[in-house]
Amino acid sequence: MLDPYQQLQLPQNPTDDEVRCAYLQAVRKNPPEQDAARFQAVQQAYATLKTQRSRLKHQLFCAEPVTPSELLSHVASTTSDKSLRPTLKQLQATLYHGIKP
Amino acid sequence: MSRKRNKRKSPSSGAGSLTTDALIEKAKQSLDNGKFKDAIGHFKVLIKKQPQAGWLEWLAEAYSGRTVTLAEKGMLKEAILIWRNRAELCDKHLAEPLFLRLLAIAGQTDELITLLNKHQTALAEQQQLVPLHELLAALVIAGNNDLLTQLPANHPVVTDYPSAFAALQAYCQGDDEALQAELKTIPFRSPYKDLRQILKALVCKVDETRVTLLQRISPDSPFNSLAQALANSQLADEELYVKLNEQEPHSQALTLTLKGWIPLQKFINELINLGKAPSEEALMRLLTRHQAKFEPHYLRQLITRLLIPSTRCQALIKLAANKPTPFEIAVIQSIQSEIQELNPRAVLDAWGIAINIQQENLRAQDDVKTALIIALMLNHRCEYFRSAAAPAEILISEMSEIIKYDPEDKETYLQLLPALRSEGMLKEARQTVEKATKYFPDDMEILTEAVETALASNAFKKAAKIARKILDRDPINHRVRQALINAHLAHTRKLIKQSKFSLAEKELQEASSWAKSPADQGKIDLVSGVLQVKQKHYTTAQQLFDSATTKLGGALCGRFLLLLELNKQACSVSQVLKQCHLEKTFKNIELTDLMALFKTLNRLLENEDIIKIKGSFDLLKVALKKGVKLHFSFSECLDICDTLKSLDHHELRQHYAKAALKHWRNAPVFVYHALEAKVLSSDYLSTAEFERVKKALSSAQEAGDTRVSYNLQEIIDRELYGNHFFDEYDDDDDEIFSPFGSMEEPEMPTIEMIVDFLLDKMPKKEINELRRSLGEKGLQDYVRDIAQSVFDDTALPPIPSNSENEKKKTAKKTPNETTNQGELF
Repeated sequence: MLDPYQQLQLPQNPTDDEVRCAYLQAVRKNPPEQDAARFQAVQQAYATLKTQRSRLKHQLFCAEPVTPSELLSHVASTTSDKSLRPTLKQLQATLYHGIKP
Repeated sequence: MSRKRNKRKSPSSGAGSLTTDALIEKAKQSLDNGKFKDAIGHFKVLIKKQPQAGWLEWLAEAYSGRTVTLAEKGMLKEAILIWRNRAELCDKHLAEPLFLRLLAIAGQTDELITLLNKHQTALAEQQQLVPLHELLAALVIAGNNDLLTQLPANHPVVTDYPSAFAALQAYCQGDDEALQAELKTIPFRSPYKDLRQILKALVCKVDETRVTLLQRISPDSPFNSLAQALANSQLADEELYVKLNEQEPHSQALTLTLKGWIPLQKFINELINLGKAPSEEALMRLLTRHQAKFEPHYLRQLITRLLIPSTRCQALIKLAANKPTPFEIAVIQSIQSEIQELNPRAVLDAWGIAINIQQENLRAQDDVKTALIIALMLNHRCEYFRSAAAPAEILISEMSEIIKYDPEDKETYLQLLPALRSEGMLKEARQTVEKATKYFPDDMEILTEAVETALASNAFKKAAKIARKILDRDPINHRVRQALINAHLAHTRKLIKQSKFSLAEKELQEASSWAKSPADQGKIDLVSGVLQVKQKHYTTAQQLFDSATTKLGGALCGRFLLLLELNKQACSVSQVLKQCHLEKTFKNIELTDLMALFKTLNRLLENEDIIKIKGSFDLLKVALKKGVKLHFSFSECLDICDTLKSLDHHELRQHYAKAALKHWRNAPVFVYHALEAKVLSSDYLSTAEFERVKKALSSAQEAGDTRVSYNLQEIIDRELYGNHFFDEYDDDDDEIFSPFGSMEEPEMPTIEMIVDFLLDKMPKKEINELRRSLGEKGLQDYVRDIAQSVFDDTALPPIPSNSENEKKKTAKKTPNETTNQGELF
């Protein structure tokens, strides 16, 4: 489970209008034909945060176990450094250590 | 401190004392089990004793196995040495592909080049040359440039190297144009062809194409580590986490780089080190160390979610970055009590603490959000009680509280109103309708509930008025159309009762104007028929009843609805049947007719007065007994049993369930229906039947049928201990849970009430044993004596018995049992 606030890039106490705006923006950014899984996650996040009632419900009753992949996803989504390419040395080291007889 | 080395005995030590046959057996066993070192030792001893060609072959096989094992461990020098021994001792060819690969990776290039040149033709024939060239290409790209000077200048590894390396460099520098140009110069059959595919995939922006490119790389390719790192970087986070756990450090680092996660490497490495399924404690420590990476509200939620499944909650709280508030702790404990499936009363209490905290906050500061939090918790608790089949009064009380805090909770109104009506709390229902329509004046569902409530309160005109309002806006609203027709029919009945026949006629015409389906018209025909009977127009009445039967789905269903109508209008059934020349019994029953009846019954059970339904249904009992012989499908028979259960008609239910068990022997669901029906018909289960329930329970559990398992377990629990909601708690302060009397009027228990209470509370196993030995009457008398002795404050009576032996047993048991029974009070 990903933090729905993070998914829609929302602050902690958003209004219903802010949630709707963030949802529409996220849908435009992630249309279903491009990334169906991401689109579905956006939909789910919107359903969780749509109204004040649903936001409080999420805050109060969410009891899903915390998984390492959730933490990984969350922390990863906070980093913006996406364009880095590996160095030649890194590629050579990976290749060398990966060669098996 | 001296260190003792655990020297392993040589595998061949003691081998000399073994017979040849035993040694052969042992050597072969070691070879088969992959214990190559032992196998080598044994075969050497054997060959020393008596050289044989077959043993030499086995020894060579053992050497091969050992070489591979050592190479896999990265012990390349040792592997090469073992291979040389193989060639020398077993008279085997040295320059086999494995050996050449080992030389290449170990950097022993001189010997490698010599052997390659010498055995080039043989290797080409074995189709081993291309894989070897690919390996050399990978080694050269990885930085082993010596090979380039040792290989002939026209060797493809040498000729294609500049393009391949330049392409790699271009990629790393982000020069995609140069990369594409260099890739074009790498020939199709080049030993660098896999690198070309990987570089193409690295810059490819289309997911499917990237996947196709990577799929072309064989798992045996020396470039596979690059392909794998790239493939992993494309995985969803959940799968990626698993793969990162399996990857080697260099490959893992490359995947993180490709994901752009290098700044997070420390966190990710710590996370990966926790393994695939880390404990809550380990995750809590990690969160505390890296709390800055999480937004405060999300961190709080993560902490709460880690605490919920933890068995060491208090210890874990000490590790948390943010200590939970008393309210958060109360919520955690409430959810824990639900997960641990504690008694509903414990769950109620746990949520009560959380609710109290917020109620205090609300008293201190009137705040909509706090009120909403309270309403949500009440709602959640209510849902929990609903799933635990809590009594209706508890649910009603909870729902009434919810709308006090959250008057805009439409869903709760929609659940509360039917509940109030079915409990006969019509005044409260009307008040709730008033409140709901204030917040939702134009909501169709709320208005529909208003119609139903008005109908239940016999305010037929009001119901018709609201229904018309709804149908004006929503003409296809079937539920309201039904409600409107029902309103007119109910009003007609009222007018018939008052002998206002012409007004009743008009009301029926009004109802007819709304009727669209034959079933609606059939219902109207039934009421019209009764109106005709009242006016002594028996022939017209008969025609109307006949017409209704056709429209209402068959003889049996039509007859049932007629009986129900006569019941509603307090008419004598036998008299009307006689007056209208209608047959009293059914000669034959068709399956479709029977199923139509049960379908109608299920529909009626949701809305109509169950007592009237039961009364009318009882009159069809004889006819329905004949139906047992029909050929039902499994689901049809199940539907029948379920409906009969809802009707509390356990005799017929038992009949149908027994008939089903003849077709589907020991089907757990029918064992449940047959035997629960027997228990509920005030009978008890024999030992064999009790065993049958237990057997059915294990079958249902094996089949994963949780509903039937639960129901069968209920029978067992009831037999052994009794099973009642909130039984384990005896809170004198809360009258809802009092075993005697109502909430408003506490009353003194009478002897009969105590007898019932004792029979209910005494361990079922003992009750059943007493019932078997004393019979039902004897048991009742005995329990009455106990109750009387409590009233009179005299000694408890001994258990009566029929046989001498039992008398002796009773005499021995009586002191203990007396104590136990006394403790019930």
